[in-house]
Amino acid sequence: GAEAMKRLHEAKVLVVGAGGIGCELLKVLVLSGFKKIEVVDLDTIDVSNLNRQFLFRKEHVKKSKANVAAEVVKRFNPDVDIIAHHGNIKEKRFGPSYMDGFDIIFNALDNLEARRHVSRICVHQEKILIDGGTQGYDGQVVTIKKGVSACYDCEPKPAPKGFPVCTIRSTPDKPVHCIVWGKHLFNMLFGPKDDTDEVVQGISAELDSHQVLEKVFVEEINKLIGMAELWESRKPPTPLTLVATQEQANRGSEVAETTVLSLEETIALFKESYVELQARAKEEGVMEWDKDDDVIMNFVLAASNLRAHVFAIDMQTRFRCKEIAGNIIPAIATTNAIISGAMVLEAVKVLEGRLGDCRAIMKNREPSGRKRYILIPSNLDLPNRACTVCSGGTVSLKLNVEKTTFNFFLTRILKQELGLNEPLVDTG
Amino acid sequence: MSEASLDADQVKQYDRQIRLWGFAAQQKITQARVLVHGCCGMSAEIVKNLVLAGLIDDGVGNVCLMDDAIAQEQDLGSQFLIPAECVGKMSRAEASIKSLQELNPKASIRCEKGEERILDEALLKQFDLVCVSDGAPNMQKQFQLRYPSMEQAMSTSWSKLTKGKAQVNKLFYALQLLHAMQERAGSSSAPVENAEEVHLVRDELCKRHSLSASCFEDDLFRKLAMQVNLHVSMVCSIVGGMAADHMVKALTGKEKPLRNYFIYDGRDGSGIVLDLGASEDDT
Repeated sequence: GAEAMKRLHEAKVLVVGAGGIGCELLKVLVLSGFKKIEVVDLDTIDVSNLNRQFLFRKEHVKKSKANVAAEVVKRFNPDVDIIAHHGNIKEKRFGPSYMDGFDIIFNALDNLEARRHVSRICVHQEKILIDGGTQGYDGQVVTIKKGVSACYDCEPKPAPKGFPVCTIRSTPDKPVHCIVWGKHLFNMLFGPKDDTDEVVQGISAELDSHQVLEKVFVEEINKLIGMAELWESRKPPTPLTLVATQEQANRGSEVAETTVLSLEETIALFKESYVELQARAKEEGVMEWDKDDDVIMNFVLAASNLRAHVFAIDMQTRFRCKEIAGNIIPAIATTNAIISGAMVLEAVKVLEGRLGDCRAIMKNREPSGRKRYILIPSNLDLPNRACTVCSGGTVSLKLNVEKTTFNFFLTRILKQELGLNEPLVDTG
Repeated sequence: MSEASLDADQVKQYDRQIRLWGFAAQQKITQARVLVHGCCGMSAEIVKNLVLAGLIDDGVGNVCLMDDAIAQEQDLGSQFLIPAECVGKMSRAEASIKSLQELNPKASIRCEKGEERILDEALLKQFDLVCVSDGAPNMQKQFQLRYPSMEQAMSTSWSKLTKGKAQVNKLFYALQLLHAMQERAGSSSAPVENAEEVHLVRDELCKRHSLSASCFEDDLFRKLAMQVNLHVSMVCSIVGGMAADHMVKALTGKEKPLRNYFIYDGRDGSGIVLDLGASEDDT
């Protein structure tokens, strides 16, 4: 009715994320009659976004997602007042007082950290947060309101699985171990300084490509072989044979995505990408790991496959290696469109004062259950009374004060484990 | 599976979906030929999703739009492919082409006049997939797939549906009653406010399908009928997304499309799949 329409026109909404869900969400919001919209995204447009982020075109690649999305979606209704911010939602300017200016906040994010951050501010300011997420054919929508439904911290989320340090450094037995190692090697040589990346000692980007190969895949491996206790129940590695490959020509052409390179090609690719990164490091200084940077990706591909070869592990195609290294999650337009439609439907209920009618919506890949649901509504989870974020719960910690440093407490426990952005530490 | 016939740019651009359905399926999508009849808000969603998936001109044409209705102001609330300046000046199909082309410059997109041409077998033969929306039910009867035909599905024994799924089926029956009214009136604007007429059609349906009149709720029907031709963007996004999802499955043969009737209920946000009609596919 007209009254409901007026509420949509007047509602101020914030869209956090202008990616897969964000583009679809902005479309539905503008077409449905929302007129006061702000959108925040720190990212720039990549060509791999174009299969689904339909507000973007080839010519927009490398531009700000937030800015382009706002500009393009405005064409659907020029009366819409839409403000774009190219920035990280965790910046101070988007803090509690900023978020307080909105009636509804939408999370259209792809990572846990930012989701959790927005959820906490919304809980603190008692704002309504509608969080959407997708993964391939699957998706979900959850509405969060302090005291009414569970917040993002009510249920502990499983920590992303890591690997034991010695598996990565000394005893890999799966392709993923070699790929994680390859990223460490890249970071160690070209990335920001971080002790956890020290997978090989005594190398730097000052060495030439042959010296690096020699150090990493021959000397280091021989050292490992010498540690007999490691190989009591494992097959020891075999150092790389480099003699015949010293004068390999450049590969020149693009690396095939779906065929595994030969050992010779892999060595050549290692040298070629190493030399290129060395040259870039002189120009650009410290580089950040980026799976979409072809040279960096080729370096990690070559390094991890050489490592795999040395440890008699299957070498991977570029396509597969990139998926593992970049932790790539498949994404399609249709799931994002479905989830965005469902998010706005929840928003309409909120604006009509029917928070009690809000449901969590799950999208399944296949119809499931006796009723053959493919979109499944369920009641919102209730807040967890012990939640430290939304229900005032407290955390008790037992620390060994002899061993724990303040820095460990601050960075590993407060920031990493408890997800505190800028913790205030008081003593007494 | 190989990347052989996709070039490096395509592999990059379609990376995130190739990881979902593989190179072979992506290859099939590039060559897809689709006829879209009716350019309402939901078709805009469907065709947007299909074109984004990576159709590529192979000289035969990928997408053909058919809709002779002149673009109107009210289309703009859900049909985002129509630019405001085209309102009143051209058909909905013509008005949609430019925006659609922008989504994928490599696809070949055209429109064809003459809505009755959908009955033209020679035309239909040019396409792998035909998508009908906004159409009168008699047009929908044209399609024979390996799945039950529209006609078979719709003439299924409805009384079988009544078990367990009362709420869904009420919506299903209300929709069927609406279709029957539209068919009778020969247009999408049937006299749905005329209670006598509604009950007349309802009783015919009850007789034909051996259902009791209690399957049809007047109130639900009234609410549904009020929304005829009302395209709400969020529902278009959901149903159009679901439809395109399963069109891609049909085009690639990678997975079976939904079998075979999807009902979305915006009241509780549920989406349910009904299996209607005889199952030729099971043999």
